[in-house]
Amino acid sequence: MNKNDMLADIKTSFVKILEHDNFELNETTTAKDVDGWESITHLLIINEVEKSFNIKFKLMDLMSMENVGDLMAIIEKELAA
Amino acid sequence: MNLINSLYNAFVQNKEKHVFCINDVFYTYENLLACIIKTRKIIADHIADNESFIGLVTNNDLETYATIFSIWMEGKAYIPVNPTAPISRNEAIFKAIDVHYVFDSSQKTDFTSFKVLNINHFENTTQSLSLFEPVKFDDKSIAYVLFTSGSTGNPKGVPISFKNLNALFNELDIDDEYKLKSSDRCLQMYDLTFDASLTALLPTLLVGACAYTVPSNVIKYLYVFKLLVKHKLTVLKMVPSIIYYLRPYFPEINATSVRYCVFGGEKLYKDIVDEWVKCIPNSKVLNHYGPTEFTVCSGYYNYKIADSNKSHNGVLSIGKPFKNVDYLILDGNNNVLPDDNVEGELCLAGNQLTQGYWKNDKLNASSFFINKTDLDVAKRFYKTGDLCYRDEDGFYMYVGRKDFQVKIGGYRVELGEIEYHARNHASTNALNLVVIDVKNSSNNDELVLVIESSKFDTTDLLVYMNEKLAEYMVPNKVFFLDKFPYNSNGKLDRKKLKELIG
Repeated sequence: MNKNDMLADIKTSFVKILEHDNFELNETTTAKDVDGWESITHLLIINEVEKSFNIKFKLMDLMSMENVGDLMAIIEKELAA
Repeated sequence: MNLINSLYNAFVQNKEKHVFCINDVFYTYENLLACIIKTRKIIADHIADNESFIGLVTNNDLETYATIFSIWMEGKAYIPVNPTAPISRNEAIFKAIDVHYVFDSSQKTDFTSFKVLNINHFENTTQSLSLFEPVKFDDKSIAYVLFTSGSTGNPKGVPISFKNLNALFNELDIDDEYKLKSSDRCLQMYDLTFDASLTALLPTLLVGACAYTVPSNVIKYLYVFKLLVKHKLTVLKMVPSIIYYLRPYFPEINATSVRYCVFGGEKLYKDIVDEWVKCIPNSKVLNHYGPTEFTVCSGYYNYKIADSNKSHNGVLSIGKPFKNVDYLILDGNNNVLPDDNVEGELCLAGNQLTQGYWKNDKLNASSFFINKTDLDVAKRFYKTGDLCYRDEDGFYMYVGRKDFQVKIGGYRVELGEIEYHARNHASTNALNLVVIDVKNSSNNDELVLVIESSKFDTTDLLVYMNEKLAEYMVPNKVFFLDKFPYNSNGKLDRKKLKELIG
């Protein structure tokens, strides 16, 4: 899966949970850059991403995730597993 | 115990040891002492003796922690405000207490209408430690004033004195169930505007152990897990919502380093603790109970691993009061209920009790009362607003908030009981849910079940609830919300929830 397609799919999950698309997603985007991305919505976004890619993340991987690039890396890891 | 002197002694005796890990940086007790000496000099040089109340913006840095101890060692009180709260609310708090000086370590301060002191803008002092002993002051002096949300919309100020704090730490000191040691690595996840931060922080520092703090702008439960794995934390004091979030990942957690896990701040569901203890196989689990008005904590329940535990409607017992604390239960007409297993409002007396809400005679008249004990001693009690009962073994069971008890068609209904049955159905497994009462178009109260989830078919759930509950207790409506609103302490914001579904 190429990076742009993956980013587009991730953005769909964000928009569904946050109910707005007033943000850009790229590999360096963090929670600070996106309105409404905080503790509670994070869990919902993660669940939504898991559903859309049909994968289940490990807590160990989620814990060290700091930006969208990290999220893409762990999606790739789970897709390859 | 004289808390301030004990803290001072612990700081001096443990200079070489780590006191804090903040944003992955370790600080020693010597670093803390240096920061305290500098801050006390700023207070002495810039703040008049008669200024007893000092504002504090609660950033996650060494300077903010050092400021609390500096203010205390100068015999003054700190008034904490959260930098992410609305500036108008924070200013209203400072004005209510007549605060003139505010310590703010932020790069840019919002508090321009006050005299702001930023420790980072002052030169380091060369003052020696010998001049550093805490000043002598009356233990009736106020140590802090916290503001909790009031039903009238205006926050209520709760002043806590050094006498109150000393009483709390005496109770913790004589309790053998919870003994920290200098090698402990302890979680400090609470914002400093929440008094539970004090029972996370101060027991840690009194023994020369290290506190690992959680920044405000992170996903808290993931950060807590990160600290747990990276630093092999030994003592966890947390709000229950941390494990509610981590629950889907419990099979991945095996934190053998944890010796104590203490919950506080919200009701704790027994079924989740039963699962959580498998993640922390070497830990004791304590459920702290106590309102801000009674200096953080008035007692606790000691969870028994691999044994049966006391609970009511799935909520773990709040245990028994501390040794020198009195509990009693009142009925709706303010009569003391002497019998076991009778539900009423829990009231507390003891040396941890606040002198009363800040400049609020009306509320004080309705919240505090004098009652004579068996030995004919008159004691001042505080009405907590928590509905509880005492079982035949002397354990107190938490039933719910008095204001969550509603009347539906004349029947008294406890929302917690309905939530318990809703949670027990397979379709809601591991979902957050809450039952609230709202006025319908005919101005009658009706019950609404709100589930934190995308929409699903609730036919089976409602059939199940009809089997378990009286008809008038089954919610008339079900709403789904993607996310529940929480306040900055991680507690569910019911008022906002009502607005969202209204």
